[in-house]
Amino acid sequence: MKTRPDRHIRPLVAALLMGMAPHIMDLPLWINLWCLGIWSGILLIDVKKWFLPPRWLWLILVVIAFTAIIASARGRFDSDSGIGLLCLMASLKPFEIKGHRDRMITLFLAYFMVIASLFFSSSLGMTVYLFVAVLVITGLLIRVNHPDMGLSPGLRLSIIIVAQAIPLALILFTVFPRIQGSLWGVQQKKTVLTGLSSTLYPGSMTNLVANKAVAFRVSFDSKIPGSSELYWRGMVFQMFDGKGWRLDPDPALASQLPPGESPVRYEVILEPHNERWMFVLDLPATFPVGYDLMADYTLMAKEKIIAKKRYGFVSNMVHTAGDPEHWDNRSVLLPLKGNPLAQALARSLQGEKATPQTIVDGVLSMIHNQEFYYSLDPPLLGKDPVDDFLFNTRSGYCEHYASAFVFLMRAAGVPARIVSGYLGGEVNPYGNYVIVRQSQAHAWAEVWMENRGWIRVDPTAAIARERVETGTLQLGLGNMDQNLVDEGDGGFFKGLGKNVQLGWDALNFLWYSKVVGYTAQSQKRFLERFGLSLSTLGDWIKIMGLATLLMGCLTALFYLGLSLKHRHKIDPVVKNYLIFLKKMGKIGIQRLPHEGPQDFAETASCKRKDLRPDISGITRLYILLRYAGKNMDKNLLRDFKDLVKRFRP
Amino acid sequence: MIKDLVDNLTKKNTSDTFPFQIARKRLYMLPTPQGILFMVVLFVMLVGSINYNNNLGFLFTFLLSSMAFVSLLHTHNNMSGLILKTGIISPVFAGDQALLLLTLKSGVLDRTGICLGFKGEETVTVSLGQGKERQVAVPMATWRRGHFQIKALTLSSTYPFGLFKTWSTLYPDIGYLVYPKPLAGPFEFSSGIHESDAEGRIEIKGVDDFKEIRAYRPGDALSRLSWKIFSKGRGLYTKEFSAQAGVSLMLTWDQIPQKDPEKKLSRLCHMIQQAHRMNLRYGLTIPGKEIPPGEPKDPRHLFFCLKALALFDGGDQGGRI
Repeated sequence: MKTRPDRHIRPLVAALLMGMAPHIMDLPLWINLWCLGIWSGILLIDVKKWFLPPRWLWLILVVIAFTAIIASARGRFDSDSGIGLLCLMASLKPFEIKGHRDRMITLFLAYFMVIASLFFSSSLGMTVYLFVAVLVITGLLIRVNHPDMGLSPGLRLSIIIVAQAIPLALILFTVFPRIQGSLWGVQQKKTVLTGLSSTLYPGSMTNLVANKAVAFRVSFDSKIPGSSELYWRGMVFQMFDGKGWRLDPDPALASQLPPGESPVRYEVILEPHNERWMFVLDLPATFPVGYDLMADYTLMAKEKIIAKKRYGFVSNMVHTAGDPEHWDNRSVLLPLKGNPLAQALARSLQGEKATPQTIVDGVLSMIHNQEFYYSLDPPLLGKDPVDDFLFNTRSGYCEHYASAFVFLMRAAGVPARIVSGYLGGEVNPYGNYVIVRQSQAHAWAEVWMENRGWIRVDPTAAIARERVETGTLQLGLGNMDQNLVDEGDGGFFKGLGKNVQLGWDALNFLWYSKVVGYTAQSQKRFLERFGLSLSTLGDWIKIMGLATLLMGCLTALFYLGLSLKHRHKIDPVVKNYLIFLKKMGKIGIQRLPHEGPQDFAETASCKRKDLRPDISGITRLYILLRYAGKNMDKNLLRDFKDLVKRFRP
Repeated sequence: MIKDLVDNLTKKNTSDTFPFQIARKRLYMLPTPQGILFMVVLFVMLVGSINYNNNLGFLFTFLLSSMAFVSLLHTHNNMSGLILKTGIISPVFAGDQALLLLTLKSGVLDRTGICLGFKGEETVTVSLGQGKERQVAVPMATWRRGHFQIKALTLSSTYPFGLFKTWSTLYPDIGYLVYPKPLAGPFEFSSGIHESDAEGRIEIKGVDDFKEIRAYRPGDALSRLSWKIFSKGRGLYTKEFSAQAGVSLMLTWDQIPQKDPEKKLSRLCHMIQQAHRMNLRYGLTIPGKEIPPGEPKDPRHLFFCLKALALFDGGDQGGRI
């Protein structure tokens, strides 16, 4: 039997298109082309008033689509192929729409596709799109249900309903219990993520030089510390193999906290980097919940970080007096062979009067006074990289300096280690938070001094300013040297672009910290602000009850507004006449149901002759005003009101 | 199914009189099958959001759920307060569709997609803007002649999303007449009171005394055209006849050859219509009822005759064959 496309085919295809749009970038090209091709086809059939292709053709298309998706998945059915399958199903659905039920299913499919895209991106831009998509699809849902209503009233109604639904949705969002972890395994998309490397070989960080990608964002509870104080601790390298540094393969957990003062509380939103380490300010002041604090005061997640992670933390900005006991042999270990010149230099620093402090100062002044250059594009180092750097190339960035410095310290018998992380951060003026980018990756050193503990020393900062290559980014220097390594004045448009970018970043940050990053902890904190604890099931029941009550109140308000609309505005003329009748009633003269105003005036006047002038005046005016219609005389109305008011029977 | 159950449980013995305003307590609501499917979709979204700890997933799942909830209120409002001002049903012949002419008044709100129908019958859908009044014809099939009380009238609406259906079942106090189904056949009559010779079976051609000739009007029977005048090239004219004053027919039960009383009624019904159409004076005699001839073309007389047929209950004695 020949059939034509469904009469609602256009809004339905539009809805599916809205659902598919957010997936375009994630889908393979052929699926995009397939969907667009098939939808154009059915729209063409509709426009030209042709018949639909026979059912066997449709079946062949279904078979082709499924075969292709299975073939392209290559046996690995992940979320990508799931979305692909969803889109292929959506592409073929319009051919078999046969009635209201199918239309509704198609629209639900469109909703589902929209929501599914949330599992791939949670950016603010995407969220805005999703809102628009929900509005439009809902408008189309109304249109399909009420074709005589017109598109724009439908869209208007859709906006009204979404607006009315938002408060309820927010209440549900806030109080719906969040769990930590997942119901079953979470399959995460594999993407290439940039970030710090788990080894440190001088010169290896170069891939981050120009990487302006955000590593993490931080908001502070109090004033943002100066950017030269923002040493974001990530990893500590203890093991030197002659060329570079490696992480401790078997790190111990911290047993105590380093003493310190002037704590700052802050919250980090970390971009996924597919490793376990997390970044905290030097040095941690609390034991974290849910994460591991290591003996070297780095913070580790229990699992690899594959999605944006949000964590609050407290660090002590002043921590020089700390942990005099804790250092182990590994902090002085060096390979016996290699870098003989550096070994010799270190020995020359050791004298009778030498203390760790003098040794540190000696090396720093050497870096400052001798011809050491800061360069993002240093020459490659040879077989003995420390020797090569110290006595030959003398040009490099933080990794080179930290590596050489720690080598010299260890060779001179001072326990030392390298800390890798980020330095500084850009304060976003629109959001009062700090953006730390990959290009701000940094490595510095820590030396152990008796009675003082681990002291941070940043050898890169010792380079004389005039020897910092201009035109480079501030890699390894953070904002500390922003005045030195300036990007220069980019002109008005570059400035504008940067401001727009920062503003957008601020909105995204706000969106993430308030909505996307709403975790079990933030829920707990938020509800505690209202004096609601969440420890027992009873608490949950109480909160659910409160939420239901709140939503009930909102619904009641909605209805109240409606019944106010229902109530007719009482005509002031009638109102005043009723007052008059009431006054008459008080003196025992009731108006009978069959009596008109005129008749009543007559009977009342007969009963109370003294009131005759007032009664007849009021009645006359009432009749006059009542039948005046729209062009009522305002003065007359005022006289009438006045008369009724002054009427004292 | 559940709807029937609710209707049965809430059915009252009293009937509803017009004007009738649909009160909140008379409105019931259930999800449509699509509404249930939508809830399933929402549930899947919720489980996905929980599993992936995806807050945007939560947000949009809750947004859609809240929208569904809000739509429920809109569905309810769409019907609540709707006024049915008047309702009448004109008599029909059995087998034809009876139409309940309802005057709906919207009140202060817009009404969209209000579906009206009798149980098991076709429905009609109307929309009316706020403060508007509109007449709708709700169809109802008829099978038998007689006087009936209308069945349960259901007003329903799935506005705006088609996820929930609200309905109110009314039992309006409206009766209607169904005349017998006309059955064509030869015109049989007994003479009226004044005539005694015209008894028997004749072909009625609609010809009595020639009255006048007037200009042709569209719709005039071809047989009445004056072909004589036409052939002389003076245009079309129609010959007018008038029924003979004083001549009247009695259409009687006993003259119908059919044995089945319903058939007899159907034949009589047909003849009454014909006689009415042909400007005849006619009367009706059926067992237990006699209607003397009335004025020609009198609609009230026609109504009385047809009503007598519709309400015929076998007569007092011997009518039941």
